[in-house]
Amino acid sequence: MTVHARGYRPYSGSFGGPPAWWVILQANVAAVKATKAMRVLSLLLLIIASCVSILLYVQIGLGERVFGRSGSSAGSPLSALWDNRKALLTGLQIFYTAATTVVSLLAILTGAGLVADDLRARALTLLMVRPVRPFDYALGKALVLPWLLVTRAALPGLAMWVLAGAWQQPGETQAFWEATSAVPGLIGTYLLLCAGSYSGLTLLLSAGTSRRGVASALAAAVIFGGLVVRGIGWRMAGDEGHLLRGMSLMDNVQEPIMRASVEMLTGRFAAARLERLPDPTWAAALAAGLFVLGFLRVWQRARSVEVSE
Amino acid sequence: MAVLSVRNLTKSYGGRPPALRDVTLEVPEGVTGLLGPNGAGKSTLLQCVLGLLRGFRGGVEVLGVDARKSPRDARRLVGFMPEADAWIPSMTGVRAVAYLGRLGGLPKNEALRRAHDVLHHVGLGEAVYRDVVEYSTGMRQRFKLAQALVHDPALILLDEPTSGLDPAGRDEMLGLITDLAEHHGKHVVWSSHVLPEVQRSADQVVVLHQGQYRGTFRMEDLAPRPGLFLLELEGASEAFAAEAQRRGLALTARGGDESERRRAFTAQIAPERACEAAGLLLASAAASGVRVRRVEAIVEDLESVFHRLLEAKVLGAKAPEAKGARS
Repeated sequence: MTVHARGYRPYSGSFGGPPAWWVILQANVAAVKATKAMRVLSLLLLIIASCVSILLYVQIGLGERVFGRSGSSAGSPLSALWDNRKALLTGLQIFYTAATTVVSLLAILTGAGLVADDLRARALTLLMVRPVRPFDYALGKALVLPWLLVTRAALPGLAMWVLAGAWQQPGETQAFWEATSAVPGLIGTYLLLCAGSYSGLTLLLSAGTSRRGVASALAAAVIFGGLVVRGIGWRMAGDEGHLLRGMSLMDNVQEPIMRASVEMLTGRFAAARLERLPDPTWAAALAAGLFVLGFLRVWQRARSVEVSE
Repeated sequence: MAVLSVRNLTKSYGGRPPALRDVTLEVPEGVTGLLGPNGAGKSTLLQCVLGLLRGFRGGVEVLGVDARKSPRDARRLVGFMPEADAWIPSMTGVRAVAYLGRLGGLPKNEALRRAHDVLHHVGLGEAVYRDVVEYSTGMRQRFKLAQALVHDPALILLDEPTSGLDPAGRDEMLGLITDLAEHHGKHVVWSSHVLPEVQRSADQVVVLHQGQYRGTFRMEDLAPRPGLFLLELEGASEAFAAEAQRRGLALTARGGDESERRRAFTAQIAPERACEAAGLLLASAAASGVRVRRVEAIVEDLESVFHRLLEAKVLGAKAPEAKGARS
């Protein structure tokens, strides 16, 4: 048994370890995970993912086994594949609509404090006097929301895709995965858009004030205000309407999944839905722009730290 | 060996007068007080040492490492305790110190172990699992010292370490600083306004004023004030005072009260009779039946040296040389 006395001891080991941005990322992810808001929202996402998975199972797994194929799918594996693909995309659309709302709340409640809390606590004075570059600090902070999104939003979506394939009739699994091979890409695009938009926005606002409440309120105004502006855009024709329709972050990030889902529909209803979707190039540009701006703002804050305030 | 070497350092902020003007100085090993009035350039100097400032002219070396070319290598050798309240949000004391230790380059498990060790060392052993936000002012000062020590730096920079502490807390903080230098071989540079504290713990002081270096002064070079002695007695001090006065010594009470067993006095004798003082004091003690516990020649205080260094340049005099700024 080793008896270890507490107190100051010299350190004779080596220095090194993972890059500073990774340490900052891990510490911040752990801190966010420990918050009540994060626990509640994670549980909510888990419940939503479970409900959608159960619905999918009932629709394409259990349903086909118990009731057999009916309607357009009856007797035709190709039609069944089409129907199951539609069911999966509808399920994903439901999940990601709910997930986007939850992610919005997550960004407002926890993301807004990522840098603001550090500024209030003067934590930068302790962090930047270590072998940490402003780039490390900014990157570590910028990846917190994307990291949480991977585990809370992307993985459940991928799991649904895998499960939907596994629930196909014997011998049709491979064909289903091939027919829906675009789904991982859609989820990846959603992840990038969501990470860029929300991470960029929250960092931009969070690094602009040392009050988490102010940053949260501004984030809420931008996220939910965008929905109002988008609604006005729906009623307007021409370029102005088009521009306003692109102002909702919540719609922008869902664009790829919504588009894939709507494209499976036909008729006037589908055309109207497509018309309402934001421009994908604009959505990507906005996400990238927000991320770059947020990153630069945090980097600039970390660069200008003063040891005596 | 100089732990800190600054050569021709000049730093300006925008169009304002330079915060540091062609400063060249070397900080020797041990505990060094960095003194200067507000606006002297102490914080700017610390920021240059920590590699936080850009756009300055001149060179800074920390333990032989060029802080300008390799700021991260230099920072690894330095622990910094800021004056302003600072903590890591949403973390317990031990988690925060371990986190900062990892950023200092320690492996994960070692960072956690050392975080426990340094928090115990600074007297926060009972509060390691409490959120830092819940700490009192004194505890936060200790936390800031612990985070500066966690990666075992050779040089520790302290910015007003006793700020906001009560007298007992100040004593403990000074004890910790002295202990770091005496028992753990750390070099300490300590920026402060409280001269008696610096005088008590520092080996030397470096004085800055209006962005200029004014000199380095070693504490051992403080001049004795002829004819003045510190005296600690045990017993009937009134009888001793009468006896001493009869022998040409004047006594002034320094501290303690009647209820205390041991009392302190300043004894004064004519400077030309200073060499007789010890004998006279002991004779007075023997005659009055008191015990003399301590007799010590009073030296000039740091404050007078400090002011002399500040005025030297203002009056156009040559800045005192390192080691021995006595005029």
